[in-house]
Amino acid sequence: MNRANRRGCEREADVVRSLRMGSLSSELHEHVSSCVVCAETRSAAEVMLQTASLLRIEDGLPAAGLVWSRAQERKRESDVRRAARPLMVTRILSVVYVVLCAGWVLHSFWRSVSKELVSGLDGFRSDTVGFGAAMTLLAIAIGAGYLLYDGRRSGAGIPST
Amino acid sequence: MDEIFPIAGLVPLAEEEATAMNEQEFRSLYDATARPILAYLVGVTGRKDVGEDLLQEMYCRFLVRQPPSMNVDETRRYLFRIATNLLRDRWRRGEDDSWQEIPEHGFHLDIDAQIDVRAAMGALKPRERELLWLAYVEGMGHAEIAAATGLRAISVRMLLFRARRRAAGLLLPKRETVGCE
Repeated sequence: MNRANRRGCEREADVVRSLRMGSLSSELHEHVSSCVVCAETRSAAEVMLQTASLLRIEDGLPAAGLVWSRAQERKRESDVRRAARPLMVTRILSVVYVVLCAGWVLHSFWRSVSKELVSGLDGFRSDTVGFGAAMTLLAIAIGAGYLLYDGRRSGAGIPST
Repeated sequence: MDEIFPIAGLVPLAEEEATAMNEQEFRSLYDATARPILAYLVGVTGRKDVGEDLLQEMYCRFLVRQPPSMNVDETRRYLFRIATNLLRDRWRRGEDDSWQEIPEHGFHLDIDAQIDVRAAMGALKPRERELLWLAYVEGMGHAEIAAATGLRAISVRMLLFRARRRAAGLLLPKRETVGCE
């Protein structure tokens, strides 16, 4: 009598191998008829193998060249996205840098204006400092705006998945 | 000796071009692996159109990721792993996970064995169909199935046991079997 525990039998692999090759030997057939595990294995394997035998895979196999072309296209898209990543980081860092510079300029400006007010400088010099500061802020705003616009425009051109 | 597919992987960019798979190598890999994997995908879903789409997606992912060099068996298991993940992604997205009869060929009632293949395949859960297919059609052992599905080998053993028992219960509810203990 064969030894079989609840979940497996030592002949199970032989049964599967024989079924995949097309037939059970008489000795295995006899074993299967007396072993719960192998009988279950045979039933389950038969339905799977029967399903597999009914499939006509050759009819539906896509051409290797077509799959290759699609994969190459996907790979190019992936490469473009990967290459664009450092540029995006650079743009973000540029915007952060511009904002920090603007903060620093504004801070310096208000300090100098308050000192000038205390020392009672004439209006001409105050106007000059104010004009210079305004021009600086305008240049910063234009630069930051351009960076954001350019980033958004080039980002839209990257193909999505 | 196993054939080694020269697949580019985690290598410096300068070396990537030299080790990247070319079209000829891909064709050789495709010829060696496409049929059984398409059969797996169609067999598990019961739908040819889905199987073909997933097969193309699988090779696309494989080529885009370019894993490290592998021999034929490792590559085959890796491809089955991608195919299994794609099936699970599909089911997670809530797409139909019921097994559908393949219309152009149909299935037949095996009178001798009293096996209604179509009803049995339809009654099995997707994961059960996956495990039973890999074990009995592909002839994979527990470790290979674990590599192809991402499950642990010990889990494969348990899940396969349950799937086999369930399938047998569906197929041969009245067949009398005698324990051999």
